[in-house]
Amino acid sequence: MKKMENSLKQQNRQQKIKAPRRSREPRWDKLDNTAHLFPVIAGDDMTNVYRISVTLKEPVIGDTLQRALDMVLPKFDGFNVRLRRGFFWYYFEENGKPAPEVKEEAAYPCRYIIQHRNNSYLFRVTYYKCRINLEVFHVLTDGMGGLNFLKELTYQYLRLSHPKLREQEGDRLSADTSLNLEDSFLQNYKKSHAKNYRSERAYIIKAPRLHSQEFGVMHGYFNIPQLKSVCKSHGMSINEYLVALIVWSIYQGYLHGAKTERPIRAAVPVNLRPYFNSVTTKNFFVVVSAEFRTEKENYTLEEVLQIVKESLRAQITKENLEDIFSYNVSNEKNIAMRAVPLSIKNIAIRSVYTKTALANTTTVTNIGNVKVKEVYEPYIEMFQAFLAMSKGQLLKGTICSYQDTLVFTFSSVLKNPIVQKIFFRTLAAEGIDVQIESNGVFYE
Amino acid sequence: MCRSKAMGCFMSKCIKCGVRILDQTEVCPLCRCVVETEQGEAALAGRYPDIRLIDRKLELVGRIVLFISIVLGALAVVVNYLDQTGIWWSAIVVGGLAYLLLIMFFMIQNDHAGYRSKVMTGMAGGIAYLVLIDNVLGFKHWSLDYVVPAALVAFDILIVVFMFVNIRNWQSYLLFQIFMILCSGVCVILYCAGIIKNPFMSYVAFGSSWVLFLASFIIGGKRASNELKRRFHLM
Repeated sequence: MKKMENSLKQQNRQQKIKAPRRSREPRWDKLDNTAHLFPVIAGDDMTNVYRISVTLKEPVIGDTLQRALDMVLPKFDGFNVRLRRGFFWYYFEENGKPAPEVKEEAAYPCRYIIQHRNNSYLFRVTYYKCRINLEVFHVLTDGMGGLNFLKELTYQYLRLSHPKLREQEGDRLSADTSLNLEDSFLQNYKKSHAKNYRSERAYIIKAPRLHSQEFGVMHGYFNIPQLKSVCKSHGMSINEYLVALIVWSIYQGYLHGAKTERPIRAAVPVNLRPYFNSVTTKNFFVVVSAEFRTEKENYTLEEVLQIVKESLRAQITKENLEDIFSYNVSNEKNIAMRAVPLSIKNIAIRSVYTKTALANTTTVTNIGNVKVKEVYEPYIEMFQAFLAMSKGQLLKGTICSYQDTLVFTFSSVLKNPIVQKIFFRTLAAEGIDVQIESNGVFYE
Repeated sequence: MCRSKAMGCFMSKCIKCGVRILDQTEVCPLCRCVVETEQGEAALAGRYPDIRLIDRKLELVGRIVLFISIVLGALAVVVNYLDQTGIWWSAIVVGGLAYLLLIMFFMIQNDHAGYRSKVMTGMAGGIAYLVLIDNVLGFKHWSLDYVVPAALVAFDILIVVFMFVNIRNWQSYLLFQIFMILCSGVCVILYCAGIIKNPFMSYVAFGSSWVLFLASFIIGGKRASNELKRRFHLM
C-alpha cells in the first residue's frame, strides 16, 4: 500500500515537474583532473561516494525537502549533469530530467549510485528523522563542493518550512555560495613535474569483515575547546592530532606495538582552494600521506604523534602540493596520452590507482569547521560527513565540526571496531569528554 | 556539548572505555561490556534506521537456476558422448543454457547495466548462439551469411526506435550508429576474406548503417556535429 502511495506520489511529481523540452544545445563540461579516476574504479565495493549530512533541530519533511531540491538543483550547473562516455574521455552533459527523488533513508550509506536508476544524476538526497543526507559521487566534486550544495539545499528547505524565513531571505542563493566551475588543477599546474606521490605498499589491515553490503558508521563527538587544549599540549593542530591518533590506534590494535616492514600510512586529502585562491566547486584537492615507519618496537603515543606531525608538516607546503597535482595534470595534458582511446586509458588508470591505493592504510579527511548564515543557525544542530571504502582501505575517518562540537566519523566494513575502541579510549584518557553513536551494525 | 538532550536520544556510559554512548543499547559497541545508564535521560529511538539485509529471493532463484543449468549441461554432454552420433548436439544444449543464464543474470538481475547495454548484450548473445548452432550442424554459413547481418539491420531499426522514444537526447545514439557501421563493415571484410559466401545481407547491413548515420548527421545539423565533437574531444 505504501509502495503504491509512493509510486503515485512520484507520478504526480513527474507530471508537475515535467522537464522542459530542450530546444537548445545541452551544456557540457570536461571532468577535472582527479575526476577521471572515479568512473573507472567505481563499483559496488568501491563506490567513491561520500556523505555529508546536516542534522536539524526539527524532523525533516520529505515533500518539502523534495521541493527544496527541485528549486535549488537548476541553479547548480555542477550538480545538474549526467556522466557521458566519449571515445577519449568521459564528460559531463547537462541533465534535462527532473531532480532525483528524495527518499527516506532505508539502506546503508554511501552505496553505489546507479545513474540510470537516479534520473542519471550523480548524487542522492535522503532524510531520516532530523537529518538530511547528501551522497555525492566523487566525480562531481569534493567535500567542499558537496557542502556548498548541501548548505543551499538546507537553507531552501528551512525557508520552505518556515515562511517567515522565506519572507526575510527570499529564494536567492546566499552570497557566500560559489557556483564557480573552473578546473583549478589546469589553472594552477606547473609544467614538467616528476612523480611526487608514494606508491610503495603500506601496511594493509586484514581482519574479518561485516556482511557484504553492510557498512559501519561510528561518530565520536568532542568539545572543540577541550580538544584544542589537548592538541596544544602536544604542540599539534587538531587535524594532525586526530590523524596521528588513528595511526596510533592501528599500530596498537593490529600490530600490538610490533615492528613491521610496511609503514602505516594515512592518506590525508588536502583542500587546495586556500593555497591557490580558488573558489571552484569542482574537485580541487591532493592527497598527502602521513607516514609512520616502525624502526623499533613499542613506540609510545607521544613518539607516534610527533612522527606523524613531522611527516604531515613536511608535505603540506604549497610547493609540494603543487608538485603533486602538476605531475597528474602533465600526464593529462600529454598529447600522446590524450589520443589513447578511453578503454585503454581505463586499464592504465586502474593499475595506477591500485598501486597508489595500496600505498595507504587508511584515509582521514577533514571537511573543516562548517559555518552557516547566522539566520539559519537556530535551526541547525550539526553536520557530519564520511567516506566510502576503497581498495585496501577498509576503515576511514572524517573530521567535521560545527560551532563548538567536532565530529570524528569512522566509516568501516571491519567487523570488530578495534581501531575505534583504541581511538576513543585514548581520547577519553587524554581528558576529553567523548560521546559516540553508531548505525547499529557493531551490535550484531 | 551534550547532544542527547537536543536530539532527545538515549545516553549511557561505558566505564571501561570512558565514553558516553548515544545509541539505544545495553552494551558498549566498542568493548561489548554492559553500559551504565545515566539518570534523567529518556530512551528514545536512534538516529539511524534499523536496516536488515533484505533476503534476496531472486538471488536464490538465480543460484537454483545456475545449479540446474550445470546439471543439465553436464548430463547433455555425457549422453552425447555415449550415443556417438557424430554430432555434438550437446553444444547446442550447453550454449542454450548459457544464453538463458546470460539473460537471467545480466539482463534481469543486473541493476547496474542500462537498457542499451542489456539489449546489445542480449542480441550479441543470441547471434553467438545461432553461429554456434550453424557450426554444430555442419557450418552451412547461414548464420554468417544471413543471421549476423540481419541482426545488424535489426540493431539499426532498434536504434531508430530508441531515438524516437528518447527524442530529447536522440543525438546520444550517434556513437552507437558509428559502432554499427564498424560492425557491418566487418561483415563486408569477412565476405572479402571468403568467410561469408553470400554478401547480399552484409551489403544491406552496411548500407543501412551508413544511411542511418548520414541521415542523423545531416538532418541533425549542428546538434549532431556538436555531439560528435563532445564524444571525440581530446581535451
